[in-house]
Amino acid sequence: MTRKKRVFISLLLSLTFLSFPLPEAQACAPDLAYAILINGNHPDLPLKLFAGGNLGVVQPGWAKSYLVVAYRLLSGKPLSKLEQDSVLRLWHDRIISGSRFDGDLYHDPREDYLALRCKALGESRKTVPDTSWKMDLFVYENGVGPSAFKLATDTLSRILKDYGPKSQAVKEWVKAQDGLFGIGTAKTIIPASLPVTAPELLRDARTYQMAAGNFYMKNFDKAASLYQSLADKPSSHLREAASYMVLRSKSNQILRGDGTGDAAAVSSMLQKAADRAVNTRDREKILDLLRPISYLNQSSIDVIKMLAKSICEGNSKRFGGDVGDLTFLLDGNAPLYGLDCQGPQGSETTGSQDNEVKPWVDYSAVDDLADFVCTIQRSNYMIWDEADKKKQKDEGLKAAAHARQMWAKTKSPVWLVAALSGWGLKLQDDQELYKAALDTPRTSSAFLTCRFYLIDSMISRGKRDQARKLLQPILLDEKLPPTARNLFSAQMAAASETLVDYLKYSVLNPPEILYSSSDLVSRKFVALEASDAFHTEASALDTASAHDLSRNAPLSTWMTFAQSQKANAKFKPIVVRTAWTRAQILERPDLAATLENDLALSNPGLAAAVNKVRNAPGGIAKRFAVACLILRNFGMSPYLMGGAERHAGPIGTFDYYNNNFWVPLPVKDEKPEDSQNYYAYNDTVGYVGDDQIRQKMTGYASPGVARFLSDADKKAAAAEMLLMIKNHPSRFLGQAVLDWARNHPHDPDVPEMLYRVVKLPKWTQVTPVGSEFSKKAYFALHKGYPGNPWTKKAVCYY
Amino acid sequence: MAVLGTPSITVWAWQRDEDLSYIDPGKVSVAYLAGTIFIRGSSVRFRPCDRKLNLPPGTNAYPVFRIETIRSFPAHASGFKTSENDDIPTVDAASYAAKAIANHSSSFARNNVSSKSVACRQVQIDFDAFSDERTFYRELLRRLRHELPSGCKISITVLASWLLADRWLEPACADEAVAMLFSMGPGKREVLSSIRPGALNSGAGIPIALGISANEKSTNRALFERQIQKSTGHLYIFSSRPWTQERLRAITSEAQAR
Repeated sequence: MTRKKRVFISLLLSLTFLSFPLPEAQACAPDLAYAILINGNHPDLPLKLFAGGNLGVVQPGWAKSYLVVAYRLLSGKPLSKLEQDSVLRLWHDRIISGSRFDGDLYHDPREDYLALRCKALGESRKTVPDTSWKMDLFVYENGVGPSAFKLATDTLSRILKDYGPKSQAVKEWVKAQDGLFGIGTAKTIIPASLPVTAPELLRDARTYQMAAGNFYMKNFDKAASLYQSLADKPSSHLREAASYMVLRSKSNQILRGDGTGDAAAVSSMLQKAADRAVNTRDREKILDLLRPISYLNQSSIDVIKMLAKSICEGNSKRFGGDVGDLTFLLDGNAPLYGLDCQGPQGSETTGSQDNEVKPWVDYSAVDDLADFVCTIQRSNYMIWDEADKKKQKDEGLKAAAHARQMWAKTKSPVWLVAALSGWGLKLQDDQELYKAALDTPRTSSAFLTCRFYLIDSMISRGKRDQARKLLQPILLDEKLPPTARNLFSAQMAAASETLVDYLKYSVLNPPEILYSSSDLVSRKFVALEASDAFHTEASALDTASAHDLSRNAPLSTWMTFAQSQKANAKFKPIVVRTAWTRAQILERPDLAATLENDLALSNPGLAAAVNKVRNAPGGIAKRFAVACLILRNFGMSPYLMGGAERHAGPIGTFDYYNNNFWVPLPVKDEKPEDSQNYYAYNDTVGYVGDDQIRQKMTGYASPGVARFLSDADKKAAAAEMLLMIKNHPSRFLGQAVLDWARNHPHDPDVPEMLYRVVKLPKWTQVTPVGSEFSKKAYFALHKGYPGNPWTKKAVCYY
Repeated sequence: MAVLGTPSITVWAWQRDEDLSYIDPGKVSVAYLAGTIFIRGSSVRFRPCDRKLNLPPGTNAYPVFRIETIRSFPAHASGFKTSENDDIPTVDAASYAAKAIANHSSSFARNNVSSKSVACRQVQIDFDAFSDERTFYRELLRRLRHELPSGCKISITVLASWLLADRWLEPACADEAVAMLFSMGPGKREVLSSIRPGALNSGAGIPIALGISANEKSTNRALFERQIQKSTGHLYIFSSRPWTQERLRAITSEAQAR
């Protein structure tokens, strides 16, 4: 999916004449939110920090354009400010085109134009959708883009200002424009010119319409000549647009025209125009017209070489465009894909389609940059069929061996990173590589990546002391990207010496929450990109750590965990709630009581209920108050989930997927789902990117908390597990409610609580214990409270 | 409970060139992507799928229309306040979308899919409607029924959640609901844990078919072990890579053997 998406977006960006964003969304299941702990597809947001040189730990699953920039940084050639801005434009365009998270960014100039057209003609705005729908296919097939509608809106505004709505001048202009936009016509109609006696504004507007008509009909020479007549008029408001369209017509004549035209002369003309351009954006727009001409009659390999050279030498005047084109080619597309003109020489694929047949196109022999990008990504060969697992490993190992050879040959930081990444060689078996990684200076862009793999090697060999020594200064670095911090934090947990440190470093901070498996980035993308600092969401554990602690940690550990959280820690509300619930279920109200202040403060929504618990006199009154607090909050549980707790849903909200309350964990641990499955690792944690990093993260959670537990702790944890099973929520909470109901039948909370006990199996999972108490509560409710609204809602037991 | 039997097979031909010339038209039907309808508020765009499709003569082939809404992200998912005008697809959009589907069902054919073979016996709509898009979707299905020739059936793809918990479809809004049990993302475990024969129920009396992917073996195994495919009677199969005879034979054999 990810690879396909990447190719798809590459296509979108390359074909700059597309008029409408076509985001892909193929979720076939409910969209449940999940936390990204490790950003494997793209660097952490805002991307400007990455472009500015904050590389973090290089991820093999990053899209190619990020790896190209990583290559530059690893080569010791930071991006200039112009290059940074240019490549940011590329990334923003790609992400926005491939997402559907912000309607404002999809503001469609066509709608603006049609609204103004209605005003000009005195028509109802209600006709806009109808007109829009009727012109839709024409506009699409003729490549009428948003800029055409923007310019038309501007021109019509000017004419309206001078002549007013429903005037003859306005009507005539609109009629001519309708012929260009396919409104009421089935083909482009080029309007006739106006007499020389007509006012200049109207004449210029008409000339532009005639030029546009010729442009759409691919009469590029004629179009260029008409545009030129406007470009030569200093007084015309269309001069600037016409000047650009002259260049575009000339470029199109070469690329999309009838084959006539002097490519060298046009290239020279475009280059001169680019040199004259005052601002960077305008220059890049012109160079975007020029660049494809230089691809004519060149093979993909030649173009890749040319682009790679330009990118590496730092002399590209359209850096982002060149990175975009290079990655488009590296994805297996032909240089002029989508343009009806002379294609490349050679046997490359001609579109993204074949790319799905071939997992990649091998350009490793073409250029060092291309080699690096392809090799490091190949180590992350995406599993399409589950049967491809062996192939994945084979390809990963081949890529690793190649990277190792290249490093031996070049000794460059670039190839050192590639040799360490993905299926990279085990450091302990490769002393030369190990030493190179160890000797990489802090000032190198490769430093953090080298440190990550070095520390990984130390942890796997049980050299925790050494690992901690390397980790400590890294974790003090406030500029660490969140993904890198999470990677190093997980390593520190694995290398930690004390339980408190283990718990501290197991808590990670997700850089993003995604709300759909089809989302490319956080839906806060625009805001995050506008920021100058990294952002993290609510703290979370990784799935494996959460599972381990939930099963194996005794209550004493949970108390330590909860009490060690600072007052403002993002994780505090979650862990305090979990520890408090666990203490209650394990019949330690005394320990639970010590958490009540923190529980109320960190979970303000629970404060009133906590107060009731605190003020309850004890015995069944206290237990009923506890039951009320828990039964009214569907997310209360003595267990932790990794990532976005309850898919980022509030604890008081019902979950339609039965993710409510808890079912006691069985004594025998369930076999985890197939770890190779793309999504199996995750329920509330999403993992995107390199499978090797995923495996390392899972590995850091093993052996987990057991390492810090004494035999007595382990014995206590085992006994507590049995008590949790005995105190099944239906029994523990149900009995408390039934006891209270028996003694205080007039308490107004009783019918509601009985109803909740009736429903508990339905909301969690049907079990014999759950059914037993559901039935008891059902009869207590119906016998004791006939006619009560809660009784009416309880139509059966479960 | 449905009678368990051998399910009929339909393969999806999606956004790529597909050569399905080897299929047995008597045993396998083809649902091909005819195009995507993009909707923002009242604005409707249709983008035809121009990929090639090679089918043997006599294939029962019918078009699928993917619907995508372009809008600010949904408030329920993000917890963010969105603007008042959130580009929710409107009733007007439902009308245009229904017309677009009806027009292209009868006039559009993907390359060598002859117009005869698509003479509107059935159309399929693929739309993962958010909760606030359901009014639009209900209206679209109502209007589509009027726009299509009588006898042309409407099949819709549905999220598993719509058949397991959140049953909001109206009776007779469609003639078939295809439960999409692949690419389930992070919710996969929860969905699979809830599925058993008879559990998939639209709540509106619409016959259920099963949609799976040839590329998700573990998911399929979980479904086939519980014979979900036989409880529905009709199996749709997606492939994230181009179809091959071997791929088709493997998945159909597995589905029918269990």
